[in-house]
Amino acid sequence: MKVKILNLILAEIAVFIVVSIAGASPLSIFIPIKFLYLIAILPPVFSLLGRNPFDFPLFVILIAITSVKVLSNSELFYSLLDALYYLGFRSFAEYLNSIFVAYKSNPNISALSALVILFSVSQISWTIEDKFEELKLEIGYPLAILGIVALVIYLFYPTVLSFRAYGFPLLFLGLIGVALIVVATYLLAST
Amino acid sequence: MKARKVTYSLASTALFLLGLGILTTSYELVAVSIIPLLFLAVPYHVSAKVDYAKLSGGNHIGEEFEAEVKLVATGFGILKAMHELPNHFELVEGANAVATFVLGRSDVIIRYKARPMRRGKYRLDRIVLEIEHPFLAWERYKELKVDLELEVKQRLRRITKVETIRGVARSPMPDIDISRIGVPGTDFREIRDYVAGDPMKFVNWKATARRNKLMVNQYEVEGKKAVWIFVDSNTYMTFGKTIRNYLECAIEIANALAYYFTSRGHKVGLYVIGHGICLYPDVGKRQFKRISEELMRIEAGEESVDQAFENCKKLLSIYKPLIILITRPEYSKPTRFVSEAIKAKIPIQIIALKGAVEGDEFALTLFEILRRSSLKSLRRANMIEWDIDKPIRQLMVRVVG
Repeated sequence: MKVKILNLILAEIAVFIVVSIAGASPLSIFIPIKFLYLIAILPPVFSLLGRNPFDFPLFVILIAITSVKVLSNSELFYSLLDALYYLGFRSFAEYLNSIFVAYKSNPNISALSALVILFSVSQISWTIEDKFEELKLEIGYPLAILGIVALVIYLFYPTVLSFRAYGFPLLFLGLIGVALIVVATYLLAST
Repeated sequence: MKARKVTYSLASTALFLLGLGILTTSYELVAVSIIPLLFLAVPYHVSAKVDYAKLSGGNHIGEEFEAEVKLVATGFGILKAMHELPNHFELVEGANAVATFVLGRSDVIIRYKARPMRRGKYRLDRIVLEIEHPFLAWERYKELKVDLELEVKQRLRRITKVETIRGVARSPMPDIDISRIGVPGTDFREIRDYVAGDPMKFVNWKATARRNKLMVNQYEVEGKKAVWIFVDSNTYMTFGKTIRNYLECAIEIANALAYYFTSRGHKVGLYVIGHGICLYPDVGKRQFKRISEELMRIEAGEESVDQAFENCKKLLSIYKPLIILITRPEYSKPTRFVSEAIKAKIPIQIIALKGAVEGDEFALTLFEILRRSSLKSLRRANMIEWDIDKPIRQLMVRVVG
């Protein structure tokens, strides 16, 4: 029950963050932002259905809304507009381009990372609750640690990501390096 | 290391974001796709050592024992510790497994009461540790060893009053029979011809003078008749429940009989059919202990009863003991065993075990007919049919009383 309430709060915060992102995205031109607050009904509904209030479908909806802003920085999106232009939908392509170009900005992951962190916390807490009950363990400790870890990630992840080498974030290069080592070890072990 | 539900959930979220990020060539989505994986990367480590482990009671089947094991755990994570028990142990109170969240240092005490339901020597030395990630993302296993051992014996069914009837040597009641071999006592038995090796002090000079040939006095030897218990441990004896089957019942009967006869000064021997284990007849508590220990170790084996008889034929002809064969005659078919024993003038007692058989009526009737016919062929031996679910005490009275 504790976890259900916690996840309900997390889901509502996530909805609030996403509506804020949507307000500063091209979506605000197509849909009145106040209608997006209707999404806030979903967490209690999920809760009443006995599901996790911050369930994966809600996360997909929130990511989809957020992605509209992401599209303004997406090369693929502009290539699609070029294709539309080439295929004869010139005015429509120009119209979309004029809207999205206006929202082009430097990548900022803080709001998106908050959304992902909230979802991850809700997934973890929802999954471990039953197991902890089964083991007759207090869930307080893991939840406190989860909160601390989430806060650390939120505060330091963007900073870590800003460390770059050869134009790429060091974190990505590190992950690619680890993956290569794992693959190399596997290949060497299998021969 | 084993992945859990939460791992799949976070990994699928990461893959979803990564896929979407690649599809939309979005740096932001690719960057945040790593976040769920960071939760999985939280390190965890728990090390544990045994502080003390103690065990009290439980020396006999069905007798409760109390176990207490204290572990000292250090590190960070969830520790699940389980004191592993054999299958046929019944937990009575408490739990043999505990879980705790370890943050720094923590004392873990496993305290429980259990009951062994089968005889044997058990090493209760394994403590299985399951160390889990604080968010239950991963788990790994470790094992600790403790110095705990439990020897579970059959509870001895003691017989205090036995009705004794004087009879000839081939009587199934050997309590008043005299041993064939042993040290001569002072009780006169008969006068017989001198045989080379007879001591001169036993020569009866009057009888010698009368018969005009050397005659000697024969005295009764000290000691009572030997009893040889044959316990069948072939695989068909293990039918039934693990804790109560034909073999367990046979062992219980053999143990009680061995105690009864050794405590009354008989020489008692044991043969385990199935393993060819043979303990020659001997007297005293030490012999009972040896028999009891051997019975405790019996597991299912394979050997025919005829083979068992062949193995001990020589000794049987010397001792002429009372043979007590505990078996399921419908499977062991000891017809030759019985006829050979009778031919050698060795008294034989068969304890034919029977148990509840489940099945349709026709099959049960057929089974009973076959069983009866196999028992009929053994009518020359003294036979007792015994239901394995009944208390042994009643059977004991019938055998030795």
